[in-house]
Amino acid sequence: MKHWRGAIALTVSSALVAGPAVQVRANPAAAPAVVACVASVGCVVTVVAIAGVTYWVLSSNGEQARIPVLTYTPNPDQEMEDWEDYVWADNEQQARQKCNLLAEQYTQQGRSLVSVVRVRRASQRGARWVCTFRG
Amino acid sequence: MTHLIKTVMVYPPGYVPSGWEAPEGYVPEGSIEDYNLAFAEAAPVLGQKFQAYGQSWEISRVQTYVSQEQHRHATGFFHLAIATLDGSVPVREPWHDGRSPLLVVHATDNRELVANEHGEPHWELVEREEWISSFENWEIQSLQHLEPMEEKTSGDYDRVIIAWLVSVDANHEHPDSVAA
Repeated sequence: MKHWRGAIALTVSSALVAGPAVQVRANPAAAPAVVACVASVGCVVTVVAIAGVTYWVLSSNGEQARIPVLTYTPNPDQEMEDWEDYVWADNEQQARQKCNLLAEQYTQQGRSLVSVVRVRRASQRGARWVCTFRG
Repeated sequence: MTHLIKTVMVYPPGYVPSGWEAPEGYVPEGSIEDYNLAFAEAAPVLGQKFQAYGQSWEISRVQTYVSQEQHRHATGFFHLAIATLDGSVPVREPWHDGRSPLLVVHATDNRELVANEHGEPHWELVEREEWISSFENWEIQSLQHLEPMEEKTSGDYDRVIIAWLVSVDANHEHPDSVAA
């Protein structure tokens, strides 16, 4: 399974990994809006659970949009691979959150669960961070 | 007893320090942080002052993690030293999902930290211990686990794990390391 996100996506390694995999039934309306929010300065993405349903919350200029997230079905036979992508963040907490938001997008696009394996800083001193994904 | 210290320098909310790489028009959503990681002979002390990145910093909070394992490298303590410009205790952002990640540090047998591509000590946030990996031509000899001594607060790690590496080929010079 390949994952691409514009011109900056990068597949760095490929490996068979033991462990359960899942398939997903995604909300097709969610991905474009979340992608657009993550890519724009001043738009903040959070996740909340209300009455047992998990939602993306996209906040920009004082306005909020709420979009239901996902449900999953296991698929134990799926091959998995690792790849990297980048996010901009002020600190390690934000970087990990944005990596997880990208993982949610990959999950929706690929219809299989994508997890964040690790997060590390990509620049000596700055806002660029590397996320390693597995899915 | 050797101490491993990760210093977190927390800038005031919205402040972008000079020399900080970011795309044009970048507006911080919260507080920018700079990081440093090093072995030391002594633990950090509250109120301790130091210079870094052209600024004067003061350590305002220390969270210590202790190893319960008898380890031959004798790195018994990890300290998360939080520093601010005015000595106040910052409110660090919480982990968004309520789960703290693992902080993983790679070190070699000579008690040197593995360097990243910029020559800075390499550290990473890892979601599961079984996902800790090594580098080409190096293998993990042992994992040392350090647990927080006090109740965790916002931004603390679930655990700190030092991955002690040994070279699988003495002729290989990679990975680069940062002297202790």
